[in-house]
Amino acid sequence: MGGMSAIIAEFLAESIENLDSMDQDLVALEKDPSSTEVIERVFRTIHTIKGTCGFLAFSKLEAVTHSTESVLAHIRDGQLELTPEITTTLLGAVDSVREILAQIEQHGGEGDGDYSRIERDLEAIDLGVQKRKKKPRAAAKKRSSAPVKPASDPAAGKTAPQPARVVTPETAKRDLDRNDEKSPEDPVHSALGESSLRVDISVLDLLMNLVGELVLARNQISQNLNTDSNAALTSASQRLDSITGELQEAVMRARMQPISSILSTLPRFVRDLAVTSGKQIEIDIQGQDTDLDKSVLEAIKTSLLHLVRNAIDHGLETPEDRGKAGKPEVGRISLRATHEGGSVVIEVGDDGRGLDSERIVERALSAGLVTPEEIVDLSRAQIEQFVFRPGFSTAREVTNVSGRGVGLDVVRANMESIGGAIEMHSEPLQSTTFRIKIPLTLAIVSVILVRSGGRRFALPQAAVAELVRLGRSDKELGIEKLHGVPVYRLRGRLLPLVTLSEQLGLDGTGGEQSIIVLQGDNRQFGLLVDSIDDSQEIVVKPLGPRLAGLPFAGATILGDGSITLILDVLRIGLAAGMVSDERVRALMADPMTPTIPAAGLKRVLLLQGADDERMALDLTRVSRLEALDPGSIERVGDNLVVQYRGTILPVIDLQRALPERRTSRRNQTPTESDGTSVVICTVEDRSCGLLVHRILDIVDADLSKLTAGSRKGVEACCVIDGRVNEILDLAAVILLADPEFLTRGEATGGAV
Amino acid sequence: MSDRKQFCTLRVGDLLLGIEVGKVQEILRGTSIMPVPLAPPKIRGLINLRGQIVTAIDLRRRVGLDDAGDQATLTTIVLGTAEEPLALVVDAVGDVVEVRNDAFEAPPDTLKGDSRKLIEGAYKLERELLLVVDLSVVLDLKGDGGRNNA
Repeated sequence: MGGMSAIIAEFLAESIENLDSMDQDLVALEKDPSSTEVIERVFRTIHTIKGTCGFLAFSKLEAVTHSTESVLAHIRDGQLELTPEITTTLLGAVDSVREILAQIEQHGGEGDGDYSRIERDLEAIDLGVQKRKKKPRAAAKKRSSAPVKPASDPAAGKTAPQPARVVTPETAKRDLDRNDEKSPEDPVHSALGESSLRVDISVLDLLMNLVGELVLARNQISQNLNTDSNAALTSASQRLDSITGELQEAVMRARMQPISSILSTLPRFVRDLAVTSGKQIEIDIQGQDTDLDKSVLEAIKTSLLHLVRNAIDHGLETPEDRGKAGKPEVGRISLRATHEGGSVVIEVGDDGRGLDSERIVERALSAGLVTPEEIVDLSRAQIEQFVFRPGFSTAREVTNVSGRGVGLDVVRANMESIGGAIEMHSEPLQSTTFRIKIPLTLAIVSVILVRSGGRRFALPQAAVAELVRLGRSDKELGIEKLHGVPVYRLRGRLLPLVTLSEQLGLDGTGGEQSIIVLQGDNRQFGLLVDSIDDSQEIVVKPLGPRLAGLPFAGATILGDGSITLILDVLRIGLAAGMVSDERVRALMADPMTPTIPAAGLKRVLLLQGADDERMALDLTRVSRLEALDPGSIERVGDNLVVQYRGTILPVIDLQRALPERRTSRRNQTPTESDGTSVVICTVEDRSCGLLVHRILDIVDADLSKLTAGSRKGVEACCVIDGRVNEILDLAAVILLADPEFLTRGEATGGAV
Repeated sequence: MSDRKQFCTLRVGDLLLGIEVGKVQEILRGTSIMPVPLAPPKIRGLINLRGQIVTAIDLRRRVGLDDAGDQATLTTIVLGTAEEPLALVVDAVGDVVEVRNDAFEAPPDTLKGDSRKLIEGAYKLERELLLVVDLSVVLDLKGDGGRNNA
């Protein structure tokens, strides 16, 4: 590779990229053979490769591309109709070209692969057309709208010739996916070509690293500045602050790629699977231009393909079965990518048979994952969770496509390793949808800093479900031993505990004051640490291969220049037997709260008002809970604000925002009240702090029985834990307090 | 030029070791090293080198010596390896010496056991032997290149 000349490297990069789009184009062309534009593009791609490889003396490649070009020329000239068989042959040719390119990339030569077969196939098609050209007959006027090049002979036959080799035995697939609705994408790329530039990814990585360092250096400066009060220095530091922030954002943007870059192979992938599985499939992709960090894209690519493959193999039925079930014969797979706050959500859905919970139970029982007694108590959602367990498969037989029992567990592990999560929802006989939530970037992560055994560690916030601080007396009362395993009673449930310093072999065990509740396999567990210090946005730096296998996901450098290790929650859970250990699970008969609240339940934050009234807030709206110093809340004009993580966060006093039923506490300023708990929440991508009287708990509430709310800002009322709770409508509350909140510019702050 | 080589000399216990000058990026004195829990003992910890995190390997422990009594002043040699930033913790760093290629000899028989594998060969200096460190062996902590894809 090292000796590869620049011209070949350039040729390879360009050709490989073009081939990916060619896969897509060919499949699109099969659906809509009349698109002159697409056929032109396909033709051009092959023509360019052929031309260049002749110049570079790659004779095999030239031979394959030459034959491909001839066939494509016939199609372009309207002398050949693109049948599924021909498409398959052409796709085969693309694969051969790709193979040769890979050989060149790895070994510098074309390799000794034999491509005569694909050449023969192509030539057979070519010959078929040539023959018909010589003795033109009255053309069957099947489609007069066929693309016609001025130079060609329009009278030539337009019927599809029989290819020499029928590639797939199933001829039934000939009208596969004919019902297209949109024409292939516009030629945006050519317009973009002028203003974009190919940059080596390592340059971007370096830039990202340097910016990360700059952020740290800036943090150091602003920390030291607090003690000093040199006006000029302060203003320079503020400028540095904002420029660094913008620079960081710009570099992050440069690393972003639309998700379409990894989905380009999908139409081809689906087509191939459709042909081999004998199903008819239509794929609908939405949100192709959703941007994601390059490294995240790489990390999710295989998982996405896996989910699509799963949907085709397990989800969608055969056309006959679909017919019997009264569904359209063509199965639908939809892929939808959207931004949601600081994350990207990708949904992969199919309208197939859904998950057969009986079959899952059957499998779970035979694999010994549960006992028959336990099954009775499990909800459908809990049963569906079994598909994420290692080695679990419901496929009746192992097929070429999937069903080897390695699958969703790996997908889930992959998602978790990049700080993402996967959920599943299935309607029996109707649909299955997988929902992946992943961070926009891997480079910057928000962590909480904890102390254990005299050392400081960082813990990714994505892994943290809850923090519990133990009082001194609580400690004696709260932690018990069950079969030698320390447990803590958290809201009446037993939470198994793991002592971090013990797990890491550190001295100084015994000073633990706090529990971090983490999500294990199906069950939460608590990590005992000395104290919880702070939360921060940090730049992750990988550890070298010599430190692989340790329970650390990386390291970071904090503002004071010290190195802090980032804990790998899964590995710690594994080492402590909290993950994938059936025995411990059986011991804890009651599985802790599952990742997705059980069906019909919604996770809410319970609040207590100043008059002891109870309120509940949808937890998905809440990003953080903070205890702020009452003095830190300042007044700007009519509004309250607080300096939070380097930004000015608007604060809304819940008690004042809601229309009072009694007037007793109306004219109180928030600084006098004892309520200093602030719920940081997000509405339409804007953050705001909700000043509440008291935060009570987080519970899964059954919101099926609702009664209408009695005042503005309240969506409904509902009984939770034996008390009537008002369920807050966050957007309405904010509008009550500040009608212009959503329309005013700049309300959210950037990342640190 | 071609018949001479330059070595950065360093001391670990009684041994005078040499690393080719071209492989040394820089020498740090008195840096703080953050130990990594559960890491193999030969890995001393992590160093913050201007924002880059460098894995520091203890050469003393690597050649099978016990820790020196006085650990107050740690000297670290940062290596200019391509794959990942690495450093060696040594007792002391000496001068750069220039040796003639034809003075090279196989490792002396007096070297035994594990440390023998770590030595490529020796140059005879005026007073003592300069043992050339085989970095590829020294940095390979597991024998399988430390690869781990778990």
